[in-house]
Amino acid sequence: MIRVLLVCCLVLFSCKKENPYGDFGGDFSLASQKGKWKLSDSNGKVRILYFGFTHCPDICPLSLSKLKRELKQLNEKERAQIVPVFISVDYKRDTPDTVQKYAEFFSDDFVGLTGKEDEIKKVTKQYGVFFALTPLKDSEMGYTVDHTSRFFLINKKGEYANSFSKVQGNEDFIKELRKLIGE
Amino acid sequence: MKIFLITILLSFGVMAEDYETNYEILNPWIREVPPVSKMSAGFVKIKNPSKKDVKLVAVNSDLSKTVELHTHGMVDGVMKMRKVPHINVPAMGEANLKPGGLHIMFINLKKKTIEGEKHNLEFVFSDGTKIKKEAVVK
Repeated sequence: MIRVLLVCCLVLFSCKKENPYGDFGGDFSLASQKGKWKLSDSNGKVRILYFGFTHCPDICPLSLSKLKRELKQLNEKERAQIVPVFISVDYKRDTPDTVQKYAEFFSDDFVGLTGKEDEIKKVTKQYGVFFALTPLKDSEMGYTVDHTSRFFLINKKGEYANSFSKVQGNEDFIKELRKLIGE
Repeated sequence: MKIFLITILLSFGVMAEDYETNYEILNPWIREVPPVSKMSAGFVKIKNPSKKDVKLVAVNSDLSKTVELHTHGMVDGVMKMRKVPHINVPAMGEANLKPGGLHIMFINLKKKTIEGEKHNLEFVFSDGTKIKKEAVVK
């Protein structure tokens, strides 16, 4: 009986060390300008994921420029440990080349990704991101993309660590980044 | 002489009314977007000192093939953009087109948006008023 209890305690103790978010997030593979880009290939660095689309006139460029601005708070060594990733969920209009050019406008090391419909649906489901290609009646745009506006932080092991809706002037965001860099 | 005076007074009346309906177009600006982007957004504050509500019904510009009026709304963390037919500018009030909300939507850009450059915009109101103003890219 004592043995069984000991085993149970050991199991519980080891569970504590695992990612408290369980299966939320996780590895994925999408198309980049240079071919397939897999999250786990950049393990060892802290990743910041943002989902959007390049036809986005306001929120995406605003969010990415705010991210760029906030990352300036980090010193060179810290900044080198961060990989910002912009994922376009507009699988109909965006190409890996377009998304990369869009992303690197904000900073040379921003990665731009997209994918086929099923790939985008899979990764957005993994990260709890909502998106919908919504027809815009009487608009030259044809359709817009409703999407979650949120920054997802991935630790060096490739596990989901935290997420933020607002990064500008948010001390917790930089604090969390520094914590993840130091892990 | 009487007719002359009446004409003068009437003219002043018309002038005063014209002055009252002079809408103010304040700080119009256009968002700088990556050169690969086909869309951008414009923002402005419009003041209506008159005693009548008015609508901004269109904005003309040669920056893009099409210019529309759009709005944004955050619903449960999801950003949704929609086209609007016009933007109300209430009497003695203002309309504030700002990031994350109402905006001028430039669709299929013909030129790149470069920080500091200026583009001509023409604001068209429901009463037929048209006002030209330069907007800076930032």
